[in-house]
Amino acid sequence: MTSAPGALVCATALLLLAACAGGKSYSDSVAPKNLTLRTASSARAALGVHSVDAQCRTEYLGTVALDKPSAEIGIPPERWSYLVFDFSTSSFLAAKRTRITLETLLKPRAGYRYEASVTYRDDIYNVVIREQSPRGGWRDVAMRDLASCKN
Amino acid sequence: MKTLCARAGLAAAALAIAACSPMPQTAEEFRKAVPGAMMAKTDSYEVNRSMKEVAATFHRRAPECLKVSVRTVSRTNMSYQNILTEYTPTVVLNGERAELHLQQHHKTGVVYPSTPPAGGPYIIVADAYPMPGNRTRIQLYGPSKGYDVVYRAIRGWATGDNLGCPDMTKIG
Repeated sequence: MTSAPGALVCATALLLLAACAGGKSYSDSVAPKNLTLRTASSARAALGVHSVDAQCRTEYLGTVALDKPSAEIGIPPERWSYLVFDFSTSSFLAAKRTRITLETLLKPRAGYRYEASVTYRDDIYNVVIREQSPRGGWRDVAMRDLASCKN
Repeated sequence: MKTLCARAGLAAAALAIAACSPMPQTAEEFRKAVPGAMMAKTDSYEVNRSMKEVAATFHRRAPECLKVSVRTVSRTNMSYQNILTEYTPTVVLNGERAELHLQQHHKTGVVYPSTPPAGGPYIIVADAYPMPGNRTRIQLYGPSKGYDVVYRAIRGWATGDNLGCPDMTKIG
């Protein structure tokens, strides 16, 4: 049985856990699964997906936990999305938590496939996004600032 | 721009070189100050890439990886610290060498002993010199402790083996 203060502590802890997990799950039912996420990370990794309007304003759509070596999601084609790759680490003994993010705009082309390689090893992190044309050729996709959404 | 949040202890080593008086106002002054400074070191190594390639990687990765802000919050029963640190990378390319400068400016929570240069005190300088055989020598100047993650990232960029970014929350 849980006392009232205990329940409050539990509820607070659950809320904190939910916040740490990055909020709601990303629902990609409206888009074809055009982005494969390949993750090799010693940090807890997650991808926050945001829509972007014509004024470059973002709206949070949800988070994908990058806790498996591979996952597939759909990003709406032919419009900008803002992807926030999030790496979190914690050290109980050092009472230390850290969070680092890497953001980029992505406008998937219809019919193309994308692959993001997400790594965090030995305190070095990287995200490389590649695009595969319908003919099968690959090319790297450059990271883009949010401010460049009007270009 | 990337945003980083950290809850960590203060990276006091960052100020070791900056605390030396007078504070270096240019990268060249920093190069001259490091050899005689406490908690500072120089290092050099060669990589099997041309200086042009190394310079191109510095030019591409330094702004992407090192132009970051880190907030460090430390709470104990007796104290509370909230420090916002901004890092500013600069890459200078000329015919003789490629230079990567990293400046570190504590926007809050730190009082500097003397006026720092615009962008904050220099914390690391990495110079890339062309060597025979399409090789490049990297000459490093910076703190002797606490910045290993940045040194490893620079080495990865120089060799081309790892183009990842250093987790700047691990500094200190």
